[in-house]
Amino acid sequence: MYLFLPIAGNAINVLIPLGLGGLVGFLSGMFGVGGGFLMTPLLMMTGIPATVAAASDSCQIAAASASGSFAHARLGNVDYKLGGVMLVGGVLGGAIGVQIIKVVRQMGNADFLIGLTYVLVLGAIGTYMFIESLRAIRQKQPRPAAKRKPSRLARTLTSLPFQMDFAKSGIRQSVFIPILLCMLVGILAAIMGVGGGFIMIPAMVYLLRMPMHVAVGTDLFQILFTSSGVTLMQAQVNHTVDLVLALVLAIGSTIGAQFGARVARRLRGEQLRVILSLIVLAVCVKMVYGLVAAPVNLLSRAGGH
Amino acid sequence: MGTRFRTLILAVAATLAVLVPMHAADGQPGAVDFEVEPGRVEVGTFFQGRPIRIHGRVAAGCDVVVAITGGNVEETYNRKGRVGPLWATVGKVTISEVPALHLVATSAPLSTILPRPVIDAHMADLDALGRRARILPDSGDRDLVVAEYLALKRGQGLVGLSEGAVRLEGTPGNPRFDATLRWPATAPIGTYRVVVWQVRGRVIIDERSVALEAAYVELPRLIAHLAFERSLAYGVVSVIIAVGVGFAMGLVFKKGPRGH
Repeated sequence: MYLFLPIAGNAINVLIPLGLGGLVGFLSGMFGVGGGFLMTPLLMMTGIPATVAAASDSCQIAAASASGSFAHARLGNVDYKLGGVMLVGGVLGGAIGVQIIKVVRQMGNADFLIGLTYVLVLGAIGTYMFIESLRAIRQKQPRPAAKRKPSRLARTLTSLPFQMDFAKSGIRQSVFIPILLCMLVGILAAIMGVGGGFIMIPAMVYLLRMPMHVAVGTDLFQILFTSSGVTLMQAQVNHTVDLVLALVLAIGSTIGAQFGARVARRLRGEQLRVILSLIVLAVCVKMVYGLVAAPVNLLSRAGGH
Repeated sequence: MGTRFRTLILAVAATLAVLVPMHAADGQPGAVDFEVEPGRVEVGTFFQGRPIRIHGRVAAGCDVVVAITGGNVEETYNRKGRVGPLWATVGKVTISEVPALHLVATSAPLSTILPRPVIDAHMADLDALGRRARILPDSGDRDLVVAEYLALKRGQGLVGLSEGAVRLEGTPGNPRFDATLRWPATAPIGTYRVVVWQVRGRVIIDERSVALEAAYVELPRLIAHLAFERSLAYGVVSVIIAVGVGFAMGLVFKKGPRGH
């Protein structure tokens, strides 16, 4: 069965967005990543214009993250206090990132910068996470945390002012750390045109030392608000949200997110990190291929990233 | 001198080719008479493109060219090029003065029934379409840009030439033609023209056209109206529906037999 998408200006077999939504929703529920870094390129491959794909994707991310954070909230995996603090940093960073991309676009060749940023960030995060989680899996018995000597970075972080307890995450951090971290991620996310979950999760796990499951639930909670805001702005300013497409994607992704959350519960944190790192590295390889291989057509519709 | 003379002859031929049909259409016997089915393209919820049938009477011994064309557009494209070993967007190119949709079908190979100047004057094939296109900025490789542009549009089903797709049938006393062109789902809504040229002796002896409107109906009409006329409300509704669907699905799974 085909559905006509009035904003995309094209018809699509309903099974395609339903299947794509299911796949990306599964990953979203499993890892807490919104899936923007996967869904937008996948939609573009089906003939949806880039701007409509990105905007409609943020709408479906709102649905998937609502479903995913609901599932994680039931499992007790959401740190609302930390999520709220992160949201402040994410919104600030996003606003700064939008201004940066505007300036870079005026200078020309913004797409090139975006592509390179993608490759460098994904490559670095994916490689680090893959090596670290493999090492964790190989360790037969985890070293007791008490025996670890705190690093200089950890000591610096704990000496910063405005320390706050985040009981659910089991951490005590200066409030500036999650705010600055989310600002940085927000800037990168705005430049790369994605939600930033695949940067945020590793940052929460490795820098904030949060348990993987709480990081996933809290990030989904935060993504729910950021993606809703982006959807609203895209609809009002660019008229590029295709609600029909977003709803079909959302139905697929919300179902997928439920299964993803259940699978995540059965896996150990390091196992989840290995799988996520492999997905991140696969997207990185795809981006490198896109930069090196000759394009099918030298022209592509202007607009969006 | 020879080149100038040839250019003059081609210009006169093209002018005559444009003017002749106006006279031929003035109630002469054998003027083409046709119908378009459907008379309006309704783009509804499950629209995936549709066939458009153009059929009617034609004078004996004539060839027929039919075209669905219209909706002039100006589009801006990113242009890729090599930056060292990498492919990146190296600039933008704006293409204008080309129709949004241009589908042509003929009863015989176009070059055998019409001379090149007439084909160009009527934009009857894709080469003519490419020649008509205005491309800015002029980077000195117009042919490459045109070829890539036409390949893109052909892939979307928005331009095409189907030689031999017009069937000439009927009886000697009542010769008829029949053609079916595929209206693509990617064609923007608007008013287009269906044109039928009657050709004899490499000259267009009659040209008739009717308007063909493509319009949204049902859900696409409602969504397009909201998205473009009431964008803030549309954004709010989109978020509420999306989040609502997410929570509803969460509840469904919670209450389901496999729920926690």
